[in-house]
Amino acid sequence: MKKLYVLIIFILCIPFRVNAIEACIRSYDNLYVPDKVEYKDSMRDNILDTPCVDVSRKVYDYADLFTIDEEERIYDEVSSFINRTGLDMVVVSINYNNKENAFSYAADFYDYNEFSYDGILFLIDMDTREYYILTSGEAIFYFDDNRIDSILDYLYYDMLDSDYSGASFKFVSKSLDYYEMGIITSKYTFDSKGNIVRKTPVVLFLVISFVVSLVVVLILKGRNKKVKLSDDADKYLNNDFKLTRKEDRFLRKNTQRFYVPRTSSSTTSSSGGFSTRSGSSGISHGGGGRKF
Amino acid sequence: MELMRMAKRKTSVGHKCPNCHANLTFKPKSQNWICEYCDSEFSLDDLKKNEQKYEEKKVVEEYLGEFDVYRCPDCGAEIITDLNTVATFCIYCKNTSIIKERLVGKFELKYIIPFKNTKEDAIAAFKKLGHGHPLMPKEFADIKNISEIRGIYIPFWLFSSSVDGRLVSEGRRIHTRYMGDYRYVTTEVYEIVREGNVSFSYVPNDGSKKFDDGIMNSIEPFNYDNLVLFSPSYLSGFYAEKYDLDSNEAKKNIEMRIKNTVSDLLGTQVRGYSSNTVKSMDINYDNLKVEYVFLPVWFLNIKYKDKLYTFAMNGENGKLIGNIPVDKKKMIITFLIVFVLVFLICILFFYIFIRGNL
Repeated sequence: MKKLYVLIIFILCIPFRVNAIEACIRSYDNLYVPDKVEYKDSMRDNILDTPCVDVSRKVYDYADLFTIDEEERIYDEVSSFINRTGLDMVVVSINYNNKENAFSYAADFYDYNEFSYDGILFLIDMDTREYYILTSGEAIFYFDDNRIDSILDYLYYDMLDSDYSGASFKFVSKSLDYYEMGIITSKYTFDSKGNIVRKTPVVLFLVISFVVSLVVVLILKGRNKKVKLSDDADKYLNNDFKLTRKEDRFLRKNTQRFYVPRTSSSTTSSSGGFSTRSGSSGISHGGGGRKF
Repeated sequence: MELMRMAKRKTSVGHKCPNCHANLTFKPKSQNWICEYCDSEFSLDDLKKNEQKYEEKKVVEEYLGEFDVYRCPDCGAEIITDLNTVATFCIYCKNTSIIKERLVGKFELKYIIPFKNTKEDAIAAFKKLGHGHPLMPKEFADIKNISEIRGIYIPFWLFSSSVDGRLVSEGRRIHTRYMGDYRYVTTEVYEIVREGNVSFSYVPNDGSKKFDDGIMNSIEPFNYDNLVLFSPSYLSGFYAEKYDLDSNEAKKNIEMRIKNTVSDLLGTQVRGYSSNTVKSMDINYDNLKVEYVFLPVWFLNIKYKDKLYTFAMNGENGKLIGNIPVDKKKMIITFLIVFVLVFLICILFFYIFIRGNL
């Protein structure tokens, strides 16, 4: 009997341990929607399905993959990353994914909690056996598709070996390396709300405007020149054209052979490319994931 | 002495009112002649009936090289004309003088399109020049810039002919196919012959070297349904010139125009080739007819900022032609307005459809 009590108490304690990282309980009346999200009714179920956490913890080990010691060390690494870069950083592990896929879980988790708009999240999803790196805001520009791929590569063997804490350390250090290498492209920027938008191609528009106005002025100028020599007599043609002979005589034929090696159809990804997608909150994110 | 020897007798006639013997003027609107003194109006038939009643006054012509001198049949003043003038005005009494000698023999005219529009129409058309020409200087279409306006019957050659054309060209058809790592390009060469027959009527070429061919081409086309049998009476009130470019010279221009048109017509019959090069294009005229006619043209000499501009109006359909000057300031302003407008549209379009659409 005593053993049973202990077991019951232990089982009861599990939710408490989990709940300890919850900062609030969402309800229909209070969804705790962060300011960065523009709330729409369609988001409600997704918000309710997303845990509301204490954003200062940074490490949310729902799947209990790290020891307390590891968790603290990861927290220290993450904190120093945050201090050095000004980007937010979150590490999450889950045993059960109640969303569509790893991306939607990561995006909702990041968006519906009060994390900074600019940040990076590392999710270990034990349910779908996928690890996912999600970037938001400014972080998208530091981690283009190639860099995300190379981080995923770098963590892959640790993930296969179930060394999740090792993978997390590597994630933080590699992220810092890339942050320090700087932004790759200048094609994107932020609008006043902090959303990623394309930079206005002012030079292109100036060139277009120049060409269009030049064409318009030249056309108008051309209209002032009315005196032209006619070089045809189309206006005086009677509509009685008769074709009296039509002959197409074959003269000769030749065939040339050219060596054309077959090229493989695989496309190489261009450097500096970003693929972004939006989660249920409508905020765009970069990043990528991999099965392990 | 030499002047006397070269002197010839020539006649110059005006058209007289059968009622009061004043000079008559042709009115394009009614296509009749009116007498401004006794207010009578006459048709061509009326005039013909009365014509023989009057003796033509004779004037003496003196040979002066490039110019001829006539005596005005009305006031006796000297009229100086160049060698091609058929109808002109006496600068003293403003009456029309027609030099009939220049309308006989090889200069005999068969048809004329009489003026259908008046000097006022030409002025009105000039005033409206700004419509559709935003780059024209605003003050250009001002009547005060018109330094001279003349209605002139221009000698024209009209060519009508049935034309046989023969186009020979070399066409290529190129097929490409792939087998393994090789591309096979097969080129088939064909000789293409197209022959056709088509007819042209009344292709015009002006018979006067004095007038700019570009302007003469640009006021085309005249509606030849309005051609009427020539009578010198139509010339009253207008200037007229005889040709100094003969039909053979004019034919060269016309042939070039006809050849281009026939070549285009036959060219459209060549289809289904990747490329083709014309080897030869020959035309033959069958039943070539050449007509010498007078066509009505209003000439406007425009003086604007010390530069002269010539405008011509088709005296039959009112089409006004001439190179309109371009206002550089307006050009720059138009450029800037379009520039800013297009730029704003680009930005607007970008912000609405592209900027946030990642």
